[in-house]
Amino acid sequence: MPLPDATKDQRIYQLLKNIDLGNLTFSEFQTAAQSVFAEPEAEDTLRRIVLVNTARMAVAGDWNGLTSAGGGGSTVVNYHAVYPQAVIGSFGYNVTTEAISSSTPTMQSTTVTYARPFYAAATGDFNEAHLYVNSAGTGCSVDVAIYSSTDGGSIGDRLCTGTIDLNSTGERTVAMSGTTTATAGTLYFFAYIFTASARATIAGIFSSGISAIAMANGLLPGSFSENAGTLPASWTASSAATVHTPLFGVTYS
Amino acid sequence: MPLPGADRREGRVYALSKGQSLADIAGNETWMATLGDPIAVQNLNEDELRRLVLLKLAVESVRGDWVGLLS
Repeated sequence: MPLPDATKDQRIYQLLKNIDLGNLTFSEFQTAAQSVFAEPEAEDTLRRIVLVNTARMAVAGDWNGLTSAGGGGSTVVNYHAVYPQAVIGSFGYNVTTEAISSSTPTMQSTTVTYARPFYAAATGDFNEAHLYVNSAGTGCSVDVAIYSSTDGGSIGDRLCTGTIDLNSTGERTVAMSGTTTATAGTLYFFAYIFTASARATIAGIFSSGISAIAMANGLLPGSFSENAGTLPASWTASSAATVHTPLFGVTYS
Repeated sequence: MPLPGADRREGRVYALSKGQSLADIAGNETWMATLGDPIAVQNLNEDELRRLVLLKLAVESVRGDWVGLLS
């Protein structure tokens, strides 16, 4: 019996013929389904795509992820990388009260690299860097990196990097690549440099809201800068900075 | 054949999506929001709501494996 009011299938069941649900891989399914067009004539096929995929998942295991928070293999510990946790909103971004206009020149410099110290919240790997774009900037992106710290609390070597595309709105992420090992309670620095002058509007915080962070032997400034148009392998002439700062976050895995 | 009992006319969801495959829509993060804004939540739009949900589920079906569902 076909789906209610559906015409005879000419694609999905034909392409997946003789494959058991339990043996149907995502790749096989995707190959059969992804080129179907979103149009009225394909509505029956769309229904079969949803039906087959749901059936495939029904036999793949218990759907315990459906009723639990998070998921996806990584844990969003917090968004403290460049921002004091106390003022972070439920989604990790203080979008409404501290949003910064893209017209703020020092926020999106292409010639000065800025960095913010933070203590890793988890032991594992730095997984992704996040930020939130309120309005997109054509051709705009930001290079980010996590640096180690020296014994004296200065910025050490570049550990892992990523580039966040700012061409569309909403939460933007990038998987960090390189040496991603994170140790809870260890001091790191989150650095960034913008790669195009076309400005996006990014959730951020005014410089007045950037606080120093505590070290065993005193306070570490909340922001550092170095005159470098690209993220340096190691910082050589950094100095404390007063700068409006995008709201970056990191996740751990 | 339209959804069971649905109006045959081509509504907003398919009209705006014409020419795009599921893979195309899966690669456009803002497309579903564009389709859904505006569709008023009212009885007259029930068919469009069904199509919107159907298309969203079909797109998510091909975007990636639903591993998060199981873990």
